Amino acid sequence: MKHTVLSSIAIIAVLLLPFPSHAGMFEGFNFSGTFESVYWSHDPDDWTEDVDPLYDGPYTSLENNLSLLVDWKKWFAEIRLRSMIYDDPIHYDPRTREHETDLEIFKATAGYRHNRFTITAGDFYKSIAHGIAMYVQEDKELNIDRTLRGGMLEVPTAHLDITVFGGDIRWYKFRDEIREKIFDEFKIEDRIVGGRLLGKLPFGIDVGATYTRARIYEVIRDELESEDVTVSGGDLAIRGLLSGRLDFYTEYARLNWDEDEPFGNNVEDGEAIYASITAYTGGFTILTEYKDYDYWEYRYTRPPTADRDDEEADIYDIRGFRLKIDYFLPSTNTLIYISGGRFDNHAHESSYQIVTRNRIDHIYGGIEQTWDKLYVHLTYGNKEYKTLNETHRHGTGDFVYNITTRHSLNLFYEYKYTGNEDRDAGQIIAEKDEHKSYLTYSVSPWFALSIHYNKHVIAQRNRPDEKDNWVACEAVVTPISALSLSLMYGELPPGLICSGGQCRIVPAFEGIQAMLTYRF
Amino acid sequence: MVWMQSGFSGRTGLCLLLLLAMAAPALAAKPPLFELKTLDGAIYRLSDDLGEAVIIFDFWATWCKPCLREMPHINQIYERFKDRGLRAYAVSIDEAASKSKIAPTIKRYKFTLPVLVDENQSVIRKYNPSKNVPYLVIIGKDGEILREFNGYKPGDEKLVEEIVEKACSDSTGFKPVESTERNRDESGTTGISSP
Repeated sequence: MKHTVLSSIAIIAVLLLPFPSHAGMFEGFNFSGTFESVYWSHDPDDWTEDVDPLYDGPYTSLENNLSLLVDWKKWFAEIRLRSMIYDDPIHYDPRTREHETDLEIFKATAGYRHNRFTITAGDFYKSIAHGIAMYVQEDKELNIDRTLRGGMLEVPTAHLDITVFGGDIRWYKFRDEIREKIFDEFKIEDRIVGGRLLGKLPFGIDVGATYTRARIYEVIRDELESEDVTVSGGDLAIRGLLSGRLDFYTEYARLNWDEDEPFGNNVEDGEAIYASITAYTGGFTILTEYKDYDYWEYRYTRPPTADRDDEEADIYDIRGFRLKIDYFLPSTNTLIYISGGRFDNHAHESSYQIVTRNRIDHIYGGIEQTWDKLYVHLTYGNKEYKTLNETHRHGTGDFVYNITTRHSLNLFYEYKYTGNEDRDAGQIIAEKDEHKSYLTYSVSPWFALSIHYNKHVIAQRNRPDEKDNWVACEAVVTPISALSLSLMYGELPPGLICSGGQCRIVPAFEGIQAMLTYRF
Repeated sequence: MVWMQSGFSGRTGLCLLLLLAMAAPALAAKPPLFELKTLDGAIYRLSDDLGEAVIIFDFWATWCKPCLREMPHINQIYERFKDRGLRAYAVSIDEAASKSKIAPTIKRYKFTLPVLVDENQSVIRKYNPSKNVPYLVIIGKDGEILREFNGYKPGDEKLVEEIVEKACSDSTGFKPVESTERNRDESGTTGISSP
């Protein structure tokens, strides 16, 4: 019956698409949406069941999403229908490990915007202040899309914004015994209720106070168990000090578990402090930040950071300073930036067992230059875990050459190195060099053709047959601005994808990916 | 493959594609209305701007490199045409984790575009549910969407400029604007007003 899923989506889309043309009576009616279909066929050349019976095996998947959005006067509504079809139920979604579904209402939202308030019911995202006390947002890069399903009331006034909200956050967790092929699926429904007051004072000063209460579920010994926790805090933002030359921001939050040892873990109540000062003078922007996160083990948090966006940022147990200096020279269109930070953990007995102080020294810098037809962006970073003698190096080069106004070439290269100098330090990582590159030729706005080449040099391999070289090609065609078609064929290596300091492991891929996106 | 065995052979997808393409010309191109805060906390309402001027919304984020490649061009277009009736806004979709970087980025690149903050990404989801950035939309003086640009490829700015120039040259409904900053201090005629 799987084909009925697609037929249903097609029928719904076709019925709804021309709706505005019959809706003249609804003045101010706006209707829009997107249909997206992604097909994956993973078929590794050298795969044998003896080496890895489950995770590297062939699979085929098809995911369809139809989003419909309606705006009429002060009302708004959104519905997203989804179907996910995998030919091997063991694999689920190779990217998100989400479960297979027939046609489902993945999201549904409706709301009303009054001049004095906005009320939302259904699925919505919510983050508070700079994301320490609460962060529930979609992250497209990481393929994370969880929402609060409940209600929210926002009342903005001249001097005070009031927000109250509550709802469940649904997601799935799997327990899999690989060799035994046992799969359990746990549906997690955490619940959060809370509120926020934001006072808007003269001279660009904002003062906020936040309180949330959450019931968090976890799978413990094959059973779902819950713990209650309170997250509360305050924040202060002062903008435009010294005639616009200085911005200040600070936030403090506490995490209070009702039980002494939540989920049986030896953790205390958590505390998070963040402060930043940003100064603007001449072509310089100078950012200084201080952070101190202790036992900050909470599922719905994403603290701010001036670390590199494309690297993982520690948030559970870390304290220290970072300085970042940017200098922009308008006469030559040159941006230079450099940043250095030193961080420690709190040396709790439970953290890192052997290593009592895990000092991290991290520097990175870059230069961006635009000439008439050429754009160049070079970066380099070095992170040293001093106590572990662990080194991470990371460099990128991005070159764009505009041949004509429509034709261009883009060459991107990334290098990552990880290694241990002292293997007796308590934590051993594989010594690895990773090279990633692609070359793209574009004819704006109609098509782009890319060739990807990746090379991994790994000293200690987990699998003897793991590839060294990965080659893929990709074409994107945009025949009309509303329609985009892409096709990728080849091999992509396993690795980390990072966005905003959070990372996700992606498995290797060999085969075909095809995507269709239509916006209306 | 299970789904292939169950009868799906690509025909449904092809039919859908054709039907979508056929349905496209019948669609209205009115932009969804919205309200957002500016970087300094004032409220911007599209309803106040719509039908008054040519409008550009350039959705971007501090972590988006193609956005930062595109925005200097859009800023130049804004500077060139703002006295001819163009109102352009850089709509940041930075979330809490990177919101603190918006102002430094604007100052670093010396952008003069007014900045709107779509922290919850509620507005970009209305315009471009895939939420890819950069995403640029041009709205004509008649209040209808003239063109959308999903992503940025070098040379797109030429097309943007051509469309803006043509749209601004159309005298229908033209209402000259001197500057966004100046009007903000008046009665919110640009759509930006104090909360």
